[in-house]
Amino acid sequence: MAAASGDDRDLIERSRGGDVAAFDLLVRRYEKQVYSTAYRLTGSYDDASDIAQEAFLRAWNNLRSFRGDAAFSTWIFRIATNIFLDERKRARSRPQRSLEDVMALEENMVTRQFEDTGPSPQDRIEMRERQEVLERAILSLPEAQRVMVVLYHTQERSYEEIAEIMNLPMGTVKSRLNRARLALKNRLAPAAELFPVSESPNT
Amino acid sequence: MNCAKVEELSSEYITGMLPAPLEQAVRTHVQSCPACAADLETLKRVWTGLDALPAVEPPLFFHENVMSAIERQAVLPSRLSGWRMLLPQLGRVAASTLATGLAVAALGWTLLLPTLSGTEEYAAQQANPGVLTVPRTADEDSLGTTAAVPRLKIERITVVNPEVGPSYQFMIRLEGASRGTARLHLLPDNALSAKTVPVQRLILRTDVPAPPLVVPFTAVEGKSINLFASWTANGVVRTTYLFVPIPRNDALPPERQSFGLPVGTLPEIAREVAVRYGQPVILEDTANKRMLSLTAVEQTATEALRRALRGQGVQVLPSAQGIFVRPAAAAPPVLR
Repeated sequence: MAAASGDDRDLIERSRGGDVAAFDLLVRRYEKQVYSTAYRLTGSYDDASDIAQEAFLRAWNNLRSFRGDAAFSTWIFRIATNIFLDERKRARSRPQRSLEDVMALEENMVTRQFEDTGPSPQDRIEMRERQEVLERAILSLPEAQRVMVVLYHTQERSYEEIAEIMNLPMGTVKSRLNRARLALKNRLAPAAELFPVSESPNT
Repeated sequence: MNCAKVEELSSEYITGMLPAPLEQAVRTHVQSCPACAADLETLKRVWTGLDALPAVEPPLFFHENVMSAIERQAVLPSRLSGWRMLLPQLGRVAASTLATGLAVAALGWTLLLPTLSGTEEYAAQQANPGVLTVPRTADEDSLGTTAAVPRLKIERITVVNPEVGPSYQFMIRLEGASRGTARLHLLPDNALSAKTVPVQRLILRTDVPAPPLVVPFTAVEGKSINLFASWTANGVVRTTYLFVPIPRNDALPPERQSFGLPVGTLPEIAREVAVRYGQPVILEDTANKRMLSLTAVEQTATEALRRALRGQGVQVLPSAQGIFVRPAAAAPPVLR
């Protein structure tokens, strides 16, 4: 796996020595990725804030245990996904909100928070609809599969890196991801017309 | 090759990771099996859609809250859990501020301002985590001691290149704290709501001067640059507004004016005065969002502000940098 880039490593080294300003730079560098991941996993801005913040706090408190042979991004993703999975485990004993509640509550905030990618209003409506359908489908996956889908597709992590983040063999990652995608496909088949024809190879 | 096997291999088939013989076998099956062909097509579309999901921006103040929590933890380890409960609240307030405009920001200040001053308040807060009951006390740090007062100093506001068009430069420094961070939001003129605001964040340390912030700005006479800084120092989050009027080319702005201000929130009034009198107004840590109205009396900008803000517990101090509006109990601002 890619080791920490020289720049990151320097910041980590300084952070270890108690340099808050150095850690500040690391937080800025990764806050968007970590927050985005947490949002995709939970479907809730509040939960995403809690998880992402907790992840950075734990990173700061455990800098000593960070080995320089992994990338900082791998490490912080591992912390964040562990927090998410632990929270879910704990939450299972409590009554859960239904998915519809989550979406209804967040609906008004959704449009505001996404990056403006600048298409026409019509395109934007379709894109929005597509995103919502996808988001809901992702949230319907079992947590372990969800983590992989989010890391692979929205954070562009490789199979190898996901294996490292999740501490699982590569084969398990591949087969779980495949299963997750098939589940998504089956769920989304009725809405397939929302998705533009893909331009991937092997058509 | 049967349908189940094709499904099992579909991810690798789509990414072109299958060995040639297997890939050929899948291809042959798909050509003669419409169901599998349709499945693969759907999978590809979903795949593309997943890859295209946009990143989500963290809420306003996310970064400050993280750093505050870390700094606070260093100062006061035992209090961490209490603050951690509060921090998401701050994020939520900040998010609603962005969504509904800065009229709400006045409320945001109240929530962002509290500094923990003693164990009694802290205990009350622990018992009542949803409610912020911490009284605002002047410039005490989180330990309740009156250490050096952290202060954000916005030093110089210059027109860098008057021929080409105005460009403004802000020198921002931190005083009374060893280090802190500031996040600066430039608000579009006359829109106190921030849609897509360029954000610049600086790490401030007393031993290293912060780089100047240069603001390229298409000048519209009679408008203003509105800068909103949220900053953290000694583990405390603070806010400062800065309203810088765009100078008029034709005439000097009037020193004394007669006008009645519309009813508005504190930042709206401050900006209005800044624009009309052509003087920068700096709003510091002011938590009141009472509605106000001005009567038409000939007065200077300082007088106008004093009059408008009477009874709000703020002091209005003219200076070379601009007019400071800050809590009455606070120490005098640092002037050049």
